[in-house]
Amino acid sequence: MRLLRLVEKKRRRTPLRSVRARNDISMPITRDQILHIAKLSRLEMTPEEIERYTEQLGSILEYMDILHEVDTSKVEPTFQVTGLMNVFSDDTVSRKSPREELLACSPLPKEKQQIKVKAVFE
Amino acid sequence: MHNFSTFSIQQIHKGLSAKRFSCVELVEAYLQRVHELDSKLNAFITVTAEDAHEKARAVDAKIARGEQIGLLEGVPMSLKDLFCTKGVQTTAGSKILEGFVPPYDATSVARLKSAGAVLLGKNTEDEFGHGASSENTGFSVPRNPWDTSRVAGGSSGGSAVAVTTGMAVFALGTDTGGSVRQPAALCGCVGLKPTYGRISRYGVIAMASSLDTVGILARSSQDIAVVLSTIAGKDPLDSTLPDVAVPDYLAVFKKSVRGMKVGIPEEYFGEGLEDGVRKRVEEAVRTLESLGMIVKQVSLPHTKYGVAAYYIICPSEVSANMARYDGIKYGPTANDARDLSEVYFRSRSRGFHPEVQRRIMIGTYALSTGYYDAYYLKAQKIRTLVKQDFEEAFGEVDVLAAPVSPTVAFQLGEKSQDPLAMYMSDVFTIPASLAGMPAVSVPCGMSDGLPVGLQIIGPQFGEERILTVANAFENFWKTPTPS
Repeated sequence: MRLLRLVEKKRRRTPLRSVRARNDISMPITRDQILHIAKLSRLEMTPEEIERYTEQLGSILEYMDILHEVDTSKVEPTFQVTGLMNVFSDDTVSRKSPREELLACSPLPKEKQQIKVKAVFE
Repeated sequence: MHNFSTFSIQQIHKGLSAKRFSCVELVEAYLQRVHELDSKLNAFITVTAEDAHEKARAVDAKIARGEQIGLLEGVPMSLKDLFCTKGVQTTAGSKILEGFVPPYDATSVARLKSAGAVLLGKNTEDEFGHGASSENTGFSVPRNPWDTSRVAGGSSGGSAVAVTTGMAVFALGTDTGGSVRQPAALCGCVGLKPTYGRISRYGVIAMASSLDTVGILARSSQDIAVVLSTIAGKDPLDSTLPDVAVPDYLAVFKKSVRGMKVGIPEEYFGEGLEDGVRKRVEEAVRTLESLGMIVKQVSLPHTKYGVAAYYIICPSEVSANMARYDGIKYGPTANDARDLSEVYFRSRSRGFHPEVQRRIMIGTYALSTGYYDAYYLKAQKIRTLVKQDFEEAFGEVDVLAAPVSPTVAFQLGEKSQDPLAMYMSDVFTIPASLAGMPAVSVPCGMSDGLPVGLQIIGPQFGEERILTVANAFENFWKTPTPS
């Protein structure tokens, strides 16, 4: 995991500033926004896919507008339904971590019990 | 020759205990059924015939030694391919996990195995549970056993097909917005979505963490009760389970439904409900009345906002849960990538079905700065209102009765190009999911030769109640089996 974390450091921070906050949420999503979201989602897209998703997400988001018929100014959100909070467990080792078995799940070569990934820079 | 494909768990238990047939015979008959039917019905991604034989021989040896066997011992089961199974490929129905062999069992699977159930294989499904037809997959698409040009429903489509056609006695599926109830209704078996937090999800590949539940598919609610009693309850490996005692769900079948109040939510019988489905469900309600239940009209006024709220909350959680698939930890990797970043982009684009990509993008959008309040927070507030609707209704009635799906099984390909139309398939199953309430789908007749499901919804941890009603109804109405 440590190796992965190091590798992740390269990940460029892309704030959503390029996507302007809108008040009018009925405006369909733009092609540029789809490009940006796809990048944040780490998804590679062909021009045809960009077109298709722009159209599909537009109509899905348009449908979501129905929610704005409801006045929720005095309603609390429900993020989960169990009512559980702060579920703690004792900090003890309950079983051996199957390190070799977990590493074997990776399709990549292993070295010194670490997964060897592609270079971060070309 | 026994007709094992319609046997209940109790029948199997009695037969094995009395040595009327052996476990090897039973398991072979089920595997034979898979062999005969599955090239046409596509219910399985993986069949674990060798392991199943070995388990069956062990059960037979135990019986031969004169030892007592448990109720589930030797009972053939299948699992949606979303359940981690030690040493057996687990794909989540997605190419991005092809070849992934988990080093451990999900808690529910471990509990079933230690109760002696025999795994026959892993079922086809919509990738990661994303769909209502099982068409959104990198593997084969299950077919409706009543008409193979139609869908099995989804996302636990393969499991519903396997159980309905006698390729497994029961199956575990998952239900996030209707994924057990809807395929059960469309194929004609019983499907339980329990209360959120009733069954451990440790080792079940996550889709939307505040909504996901492990569900059970079987040919009767009695069989469901046996399985539920075995797998429900606290698990140190899943911190989302409230400490609620697990009752003996089998005991409920001695209870009468006489005098129980059943609410009919008017919003579930409005526009968009197919006539044939409406007729069967209305007849089912009259049946419940004839069994001594008191029928009452109720209103769940926020029902129509359920789909919109769900398709914000679910993709938002999906976008977070799908972040772990990177072509590095498991599944195939993009070998042609030049650097690490390209590994991520290419592995994900090639591995995920377009529906998964769509949900990741909707979620990423809904959670992003400037949109969070308008979408995600708004949807969670609507969720509160949907939950309150149920709580008010359950102040007046014991259970609710409604349709499961607005239509019978639709044609393959009919909705696969129109995501919004597909989302609408979940309109009557989503509200109970948002509220975390348990609900069961029970076959209640046929419309145009295709099964219709009756949905019985209960309050949180009201599984006993809904299974009591389901069982009373089943005793009255016997489900036909597809030829």
